[in-house]
Parts: sequence; structure tokens; C-alpha cells
Amino acid sequence: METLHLLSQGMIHIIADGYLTMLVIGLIVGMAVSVMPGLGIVMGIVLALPFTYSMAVEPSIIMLTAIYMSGTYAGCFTAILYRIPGEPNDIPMLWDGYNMSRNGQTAEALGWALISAFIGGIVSTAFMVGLAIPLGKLALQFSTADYFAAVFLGLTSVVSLAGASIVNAFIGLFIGLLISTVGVDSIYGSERFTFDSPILVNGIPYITVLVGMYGFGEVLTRIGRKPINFSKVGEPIRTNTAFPSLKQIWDIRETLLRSTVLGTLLGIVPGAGATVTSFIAYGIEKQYSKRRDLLGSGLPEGIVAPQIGSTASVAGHMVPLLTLGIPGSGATAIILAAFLLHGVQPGPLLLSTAQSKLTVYTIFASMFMAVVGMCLLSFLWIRVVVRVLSIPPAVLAAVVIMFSLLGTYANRNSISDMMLIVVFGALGYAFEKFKFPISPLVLGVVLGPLAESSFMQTMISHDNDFTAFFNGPIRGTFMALSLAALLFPVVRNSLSRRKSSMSQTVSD
Amino acid sequence: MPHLGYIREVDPDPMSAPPQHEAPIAPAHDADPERQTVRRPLRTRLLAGAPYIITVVAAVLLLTKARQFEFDRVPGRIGPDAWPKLVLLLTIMAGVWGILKTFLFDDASSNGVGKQADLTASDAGQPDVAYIDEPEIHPARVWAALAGTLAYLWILHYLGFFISTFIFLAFVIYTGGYRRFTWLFFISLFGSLFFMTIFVRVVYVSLPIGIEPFSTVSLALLAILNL
Repeated sequence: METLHLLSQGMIHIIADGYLTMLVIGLIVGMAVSVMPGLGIVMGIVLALPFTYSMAVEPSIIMLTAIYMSGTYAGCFTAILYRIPGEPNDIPMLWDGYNMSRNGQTAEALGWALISAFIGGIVSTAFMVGLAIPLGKLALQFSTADYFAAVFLGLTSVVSLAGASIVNAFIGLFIGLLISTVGVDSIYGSERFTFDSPILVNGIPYITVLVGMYGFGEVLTRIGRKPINFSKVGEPIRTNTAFPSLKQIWDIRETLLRSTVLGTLLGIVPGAGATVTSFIAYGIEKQYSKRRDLLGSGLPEGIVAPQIGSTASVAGHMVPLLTLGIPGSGATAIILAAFLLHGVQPGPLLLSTAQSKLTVYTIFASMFMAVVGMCLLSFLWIRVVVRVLSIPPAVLAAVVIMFSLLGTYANRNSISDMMLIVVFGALGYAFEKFKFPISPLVLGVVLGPLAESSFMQTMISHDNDFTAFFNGPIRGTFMALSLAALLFPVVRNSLSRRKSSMSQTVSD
Repeated sequence: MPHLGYIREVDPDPMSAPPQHEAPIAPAHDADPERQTVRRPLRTRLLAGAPYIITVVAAVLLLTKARQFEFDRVPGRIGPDAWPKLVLLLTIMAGVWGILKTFLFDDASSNGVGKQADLTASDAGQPDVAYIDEPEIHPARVWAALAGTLAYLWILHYLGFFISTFIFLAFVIYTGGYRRFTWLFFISLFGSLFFMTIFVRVVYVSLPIGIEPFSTVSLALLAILNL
């Protein structure tokens, strides 16, 4: 009851204080960036960040969360209509979404995507919001060692889910942790890695790292590549939406249930963003769906599973951020940065006073409204949204660079920060070129100070005893999960190799 | 997860699409048995190993630096150098691991150098989306954009925001391959005015006005735009 009461208060807060405008702007921006291949959800949030500097914390986070939410959905439009996936998580849409469209069922495919986004968004948000208070209470019992273990789990999960090359992910993570140590240390006041440069004495703001790596670095990567042919965008298309009947929805209830549970639970795992969730949801359908043999030829299940998985992951990421203060993805790392820029530290203490609790539940309420809003907007404006593809890539690159530079400049009115953007942009480009994942670095930078302070405090209070990180139920569990997360890629890779060698033997 | 850069159109034919034949969550290179048997040339392996070598060298240098941190040491208590040293040691270990994988085991999964683009997606954390990255074909454009941005930051102080941004936008759009010059001119002009207005009016940032005589132009524009 308390949750419902707080949610209703939050909704009133949004409507009465005019935050609805920020919500709608966020939804539109999220749709626009996710439709455009190469722009991406994270970059959309990065580019919107400077506009939040002069806002209060609630509208800022509402806008950024709306970008995140609608960003996991709108990319399916271009996947279904033009065979161009706006976001990596929309790739599975090509297999069944575009094939439905090719079979003359465009409106039905768009309808299934909309219904899936709606169900995935609402159910996972409701589930995770219900977990917020228990999670917050649990987090209040955390000692510094528990916090370190929780952060450690976050970092190891990101590394384990970063792809085939775990070495590259580790190196990225360690570089991120090192970047976070630059400047004056908070316990001893000692200067570290400043090289007598006044620019580095106050540390490297992680906004600079985020914007540089995700914004400027991405532009550098794109500018060197062959542009995509968007010639089909000008062709006349039907963009109306046909909703499935209740019977049709009931017929695929197992898919709906599986994907919603999977999306929500995977969303909690740090590093398992919309893309991983979307692919795993599709993979599970491929194995367990009644019509698995026909999957890929244009079945609703092939749209429903990845779309629900993508949208459900948003709530899964947002609630740990708000209740524990631990971001699990690039997008939530930037939202954390937006909180900190406003002097608010997300975490269990955010649920301790009535005022801050209202802030949290206003954001939760906005997530429900964002789901409804993005479905309404998409129903009305698909044709307008996909026109974003007409913007020349060169113009888009210039706009992104300007937003990246000015957004960082606006933070501290410092040209030096703009120089750092160029440095991190070049690093981001090098990471892309040599296939080092960026997310571990970014999370290392964001979580580095928390990891270090909890590590130092634990070591000082336990007389440098390393076992302090293991001998407790909470930290012991987190550490065991961390170990499992580290072993996961090793086991996965060896199983895959064994499978491929076995299949090769069979074919021989 | 972030972007994946340009995304190429994918063959939607269900008979050729990956989900028809294999679980989509399997990393793309795992189904490539040749990966373990075909060794890349030494030059390619050197290029592939360069990031790890640089990482190890940089980490060793920083470790030396970390030993010189100045602070009041308390007996029996770890200092501000403990955490960075721990991270640096782990970095060195990871770098050595990468070097061994590249040179001894010739594991092309460590990075994509010398390997087809089909490794890129899974390495970036996107399982089985092997075909979505386009290869780089204009490296000169990348360097031009980097140099142009540095030049922009340098001239910003002298020419002021409006004039520098106009030149910079035109440069980046041209570098990006856009060749409709009339549009290029107007996009740059209105783009710089747009950014000036947005960042002064909405974000409340004071932008550089430059030195004389450029500052006169900047001030006149600010007055005209009522900013």
C-alpha cells in the first residue's frame, strides 16, 4: 500500500509540477536516437545531459530515463520497416519483424512490437518498484565490506558479459579504475597521477570520460566508415499499427511470461543490457517455443521475445541504481552522473526521508508514464520518427561533436575539459578499433571511487585483513556470485569450443 | 550497451539467418574451427599485440610513479598508493595475458586485428551480431576530425565561439563527406547560431567571445539575438 501511495504521489508531482514536458521530450529524443543507427541510447543520454544542469533533479532524471526507456523500443520501427536495426538490441527484429513486414503484415508486426514493449515495460517496472523498499532496507544493513563486494559483483559481471575477449574487458575495467584515482585522494589528501598538471589535480570528471568515449569517440569511429545506404527511407511505406486480438495474445502467453521474467531478472545483472537480454530472450524462444522450427520466418513470438526483453531490462537496471547506488550499464552510469551533478547520491539513504523518497517514487511513476507515453507516441508518429534517417551522417557527426564539447564545457566552463574530451574520444576510437569494450572502462570510472573508499575503509577497520571481504553472509554471497561471474565466460567458451569441435567431428 | 557504429543491412532470408541454424547467443567466432589452426603473420600479430604491450609498459611506468606518492605514512595502515598499485598489478597481469594469447596461442579473439569483421560484434559484447560493423575505409577522415577539433579548441579563444564554430562545423561536415556546398554553408551558419542560442539561453553558459576584432562580431551577435 505504501508503494501505491507513493507512486500516486509521484504521478501527481509529475503532472502538477510540469515534469510531463520533460518526459515527452525525453521520449521523443530517445526514439530519434534509437532509430538512427550509430547514435544509440547511451549517446542520446550523454547528449541530453548538459540540458539537465540547470534543472532540478526530478525533471533531469525523468528526461534521461524516458530517453533510456523509449530508446529500447523505437529502433524496432526501422528494423521492421526498412531492415535497418536502429540499436543492436533490434537485430532479432530483422528475423521475424522484417519477415512479417515482407509477408504483408507490417501493421501486425508493429502492433506486436508495441504490445510487447508495453507489457515488458509495465510488468518489469511494477515488479522492480515492488522490490525497491525491501532492497533499500537490505542495503541499509550493508557494511563497507558488503558495499565493496556489491560493487565488485557489478564490475565482474560487466567484465564477464563484455563478450568473447575477457582480457580486453579486464584491461578496460582497470584503466577505468585507474582514471578514477587521478587527483587528490580523499583520505590522505595525497596527489596521485597528476604529473604536476593543474588540470588533473581535481581529478578527471567522469562526465568527460563518458562524453568523450561514447560521444566524440563514436563520431570518430563512424566518420571513418562507409555510410549506410538509406535510400529506401524515401520509399512510400505503410506505418499504421494493427493490434493483436486478446486471443492472439493469449495464444503466446508462454512467450510473454518467459520473456518478461527473463528481461526483468537479466536487467538486474550488471552488464546485461537491452542487447544481451534481447538476444537471450530470442535464443530461449528458439529453444522452447512451440513453433521454434518456424521462428525466423515471421512469427509474432520472434518480435515479442526480444522486444519484451529489451524494454523489461530498463526497470531491472534503474531500481538497483536508485536503491543501491550501483549502475549496471552505460546508460545508468550516466543517469548516476546526472544525480551526482545535482548533489544527490542514489542509494539506500535516498529512501530514508519523506522528501527523497518522493523523488525516487516520482522517477518510478515517470517510468510507468514513459511506457504508456512511448506506446502512444509510436502509435501516432512512426512516420515522423523514421524520417530522422534522412539527416546526412556528416551533419549528424558535427552536431554530436558540438554537443559533446559544449556539454562538457558547460559543466565547469573549462576549455581543459574539452581537451580531455578529445583525449578520451581518441581513446574511445582506439577501443573500438582494437575491439576493447567501452562499458567496463566507463563503469570502472564511475564505480572506482566507491570501490576504493569501501576497500580502504574495510582494510583500515579490519587491520589489513583481506578475509574481511568474505566472512559475512551478504559479502560472502556477493563474492561467490562474483566468482561465478568470472568463471561464466571461461565455462561458456570451453563449452562452445567443445560443441563446435563435436559438430566438426560429426560433419567429418 | 553502447552503439555499434554503422549497422549494415542484414540478410533477412530466414534460411540464411543465424537463428535458423544455431542458437543466437553463441559468439560468432566460436563456430569457426579454423581460428585455432590458422596462424596470422607476425606483423599482424605484432599489431594485434600492440595494445597489450602499450598497456603493460604504461602500467609499469605508472607503478613507478605510484611508489613516489607523497603522504604521511601511518605504521600498519595502507596508504593512498595501495589501491592504485593493486589495480596496476592487475593491469600488468591482464596485459601479459593478452600478450601471451596474441603471440603464443595466436588467439584472434583477443582483438580484431588481422581477422575479418565477424569478430567485432561479439567482442563488443553483442553476441552473434557479427555482421553489423562496417570496416573503416576512411582513416584519414578520422585524423582530420581529431586535428580539426584540436584546432577548433585552439582558435576558440581568439576568434570567439560564433566564428570558430561556423568554421569548425563546415570543416567537420565537409570531412564527413558532405559536398552540397550551399547547404553546407547554411547548416554551419545556422548551426553555430543554434548552439550559441541553446547554450546561452537554456544551459546558461558564457561562451568565449574572442579577441578584437572578433569579439566585436560576437558581442554584436549576442545583442542582436538578445542573449
